[in-house]
Amino acid sequence: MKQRSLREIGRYKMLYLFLLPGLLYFIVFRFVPIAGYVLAFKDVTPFMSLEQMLTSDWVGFRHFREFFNSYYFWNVFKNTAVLAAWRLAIEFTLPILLALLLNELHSKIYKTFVQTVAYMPYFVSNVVLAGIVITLLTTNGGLVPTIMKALGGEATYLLTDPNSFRGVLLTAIGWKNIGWSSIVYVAAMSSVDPQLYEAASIDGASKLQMIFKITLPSIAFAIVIMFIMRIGVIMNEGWEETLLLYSEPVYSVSDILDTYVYRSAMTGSMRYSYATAVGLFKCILGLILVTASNVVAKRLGQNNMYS
Amino acid sequence: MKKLLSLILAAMMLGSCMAGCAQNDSDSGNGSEGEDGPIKLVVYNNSGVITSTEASDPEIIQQVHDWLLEETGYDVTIITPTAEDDATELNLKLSGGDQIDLFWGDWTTYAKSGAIIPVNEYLDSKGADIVAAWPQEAWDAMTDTDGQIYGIPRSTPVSGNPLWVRTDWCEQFGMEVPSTIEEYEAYLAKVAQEKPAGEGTIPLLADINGKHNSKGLHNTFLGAFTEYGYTNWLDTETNEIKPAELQPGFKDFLETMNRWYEAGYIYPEFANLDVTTIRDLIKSGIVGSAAVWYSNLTLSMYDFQKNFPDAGYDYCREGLTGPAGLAETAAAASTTGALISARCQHPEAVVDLLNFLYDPDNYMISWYGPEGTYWKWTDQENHVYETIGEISGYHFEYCLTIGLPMEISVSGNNPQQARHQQYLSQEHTNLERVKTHFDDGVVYDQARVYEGCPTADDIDRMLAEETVKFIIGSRDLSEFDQFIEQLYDAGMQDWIDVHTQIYFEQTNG
Repeated sequence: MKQRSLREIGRYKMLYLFLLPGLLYFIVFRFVPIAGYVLAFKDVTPFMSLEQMLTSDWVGFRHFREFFNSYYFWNVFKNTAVLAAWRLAIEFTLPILLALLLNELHSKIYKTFVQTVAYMPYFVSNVVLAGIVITLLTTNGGLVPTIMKALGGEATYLLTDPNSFRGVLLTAIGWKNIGWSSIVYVAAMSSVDPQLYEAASIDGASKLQMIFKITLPSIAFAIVIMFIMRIGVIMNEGWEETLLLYSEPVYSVSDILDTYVYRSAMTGSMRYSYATAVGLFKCILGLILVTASNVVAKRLGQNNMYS
Repeated sequence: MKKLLSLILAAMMLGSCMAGCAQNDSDSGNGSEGEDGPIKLVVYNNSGVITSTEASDPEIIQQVHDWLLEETGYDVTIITPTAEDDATELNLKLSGGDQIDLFWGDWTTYAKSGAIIPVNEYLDSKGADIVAAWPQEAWDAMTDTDGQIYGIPRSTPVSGNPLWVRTDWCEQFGMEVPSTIEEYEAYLAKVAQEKPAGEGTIPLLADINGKHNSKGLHNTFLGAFTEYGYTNWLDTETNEIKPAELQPGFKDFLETMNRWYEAGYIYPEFANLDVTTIRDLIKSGIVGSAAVWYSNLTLSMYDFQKNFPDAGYDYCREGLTGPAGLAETAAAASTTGALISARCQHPEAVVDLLNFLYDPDNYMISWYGPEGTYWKWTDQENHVYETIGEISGYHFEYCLTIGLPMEISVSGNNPQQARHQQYLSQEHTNLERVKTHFDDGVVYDQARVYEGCPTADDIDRMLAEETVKFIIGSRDLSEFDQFIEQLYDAGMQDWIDVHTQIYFEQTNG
């Protein structure tokens, strides 16, 4: 058996060699850092030596207890869940919709143009994105307040308004990511047999019927895989945009686990172990979400991450 | 051939991955001293002296570097903050293992986390000029209860938040510079109505997360409504130390600020402002009054008056007053100072370097660059200088002795800093026009605070967040009592207990 495996590796050595850098990446940057979670059960600072960190006393679940007893625990937890749900709704559904629209375009040049324009925001860095948002929203000549005023409204500063902050944040994130996220669906749609559409057309099917009866079922595998993958990263993504745009007046609607971790570890009191504990809590939530969605996908008879 | 190509490609990918890891390792190393070369020191200059966002002329930077190397034997590299939030950038660098020997920060925070070392022995051996430069109260603020000095002071108690008002607009309206809150409100109403700078006119530019922990609105106005101003205070009924927000009159302050906000007097982005934006707005001539850290005004005055030669800013020299007396609260003797990293391999060299710069002759070169480039002595004996042209190619990177003692040790004619220098030498230490901190000189050890009040961060957040919400009206002031209850739910009594305990220990009360 062992010899057979080695023979197999020898036979496909080029493929295994290609696999190696990726594997190393995951080992170095994903698996080795897991050991760092030990800090959640100690009371250390980032300025200690590795030896000091490893030999310091264990504090058990103290940091977890403090976090669960924190006045803002439920607020941060709720914000994380609400923003993640909104982001999932926007970043999962709108790319499919965009891909469906693109799929209906017949002019290849126009389709390429629209695709390019839709993809471009993805390459804008988060810092630049925040700069654009701030410039658009500033009450000192910003485009949005100017329009609001011209339409007879009040030129309020939306970034410090708890009622509008989430809308601004989600619009900015959506604008940046939707085009790029649609690539997979556009590619999947291109592999659908055109004869199916022709047959449906002859049978008198409408555009909507073709979308729901042919296109969407044909790309269901891609939708499910992308959904599970999105669930996996939903707890990690979007925090940079939040960090760059939020401020004290909107903490109540924008402070999520990641920004809480960042503030706890890197500003003010620099509670490194406490922040690590909160980070670990977030990872466990992410793991539960991915596992649950994978199980649900399997039960529904769809492809899952391991099939 | 195809196989060979694939092999080479895979090897290259692997190589680049390994190189990335190796680069990371070498970056994080501490290479502070060569075998026989000069001692290398790295300074993260977040002292606040660097105010320009433009890059300096590398040649001038090199000249100052070489001068320091020649005079002291230390090879000093300066890291200039690249982010507005330099404290966070610094923490990332420190926790990432970067070599930083000297930086500025609050010693009570960094000492608690073991990031800095006491400097007593180094001051004794190498820091005579530094020790002599600062008054005892400044050293007290940098010293723990065991007598360990954790850094070199950055400031003494000073008046840093006067209410700056446009004098030309006052004249235009037939008004004096306001001396009371009522007069000031009348001025605000006039500015909002007349809009002297057009549609974009800002009657009041204020900040809430300003330089040196200043909160413009609180530091400038709170004293007008409360007995003690923006400071912890002793509630004589309960004999407890409480935060400023629990003072009688704080709600009146919020009501007034909310009224001003609703009337369009306060710039709506006040909770989100950075120093660059504040200064740009002032220079653009649209700001009617400013409740921000003074240097935002004084250092912008040159550019402002270049754009608007007949315009000016001033404040009531006797101090703005309100129903509860003087409105402005002084900045306390700060626990922020120049700190030496625990990873520093040559702390004695750092103090030696700073001591060298605590000499007016050396200070000038570190501040304005090599003599003859942008400045020259006109009376070296009395340390009087004059500038040569506009200082544009050097942004004070090597100035490591920022603070009142050295800033007033020289005098000159630099028009770019004329108003700033005037303020520093004649107005900054005038504490008669302000309310001083009730607990000045008491050092609240952060480790003890967190031990006694694990939810201290929650309380800080609640005080900051809810105050702004009351001002901008996203929370109604009818909920003020509920806010106080929430503070106690979040652990305010623990906060009060631990602060009271520390206060009485240090004041022998």
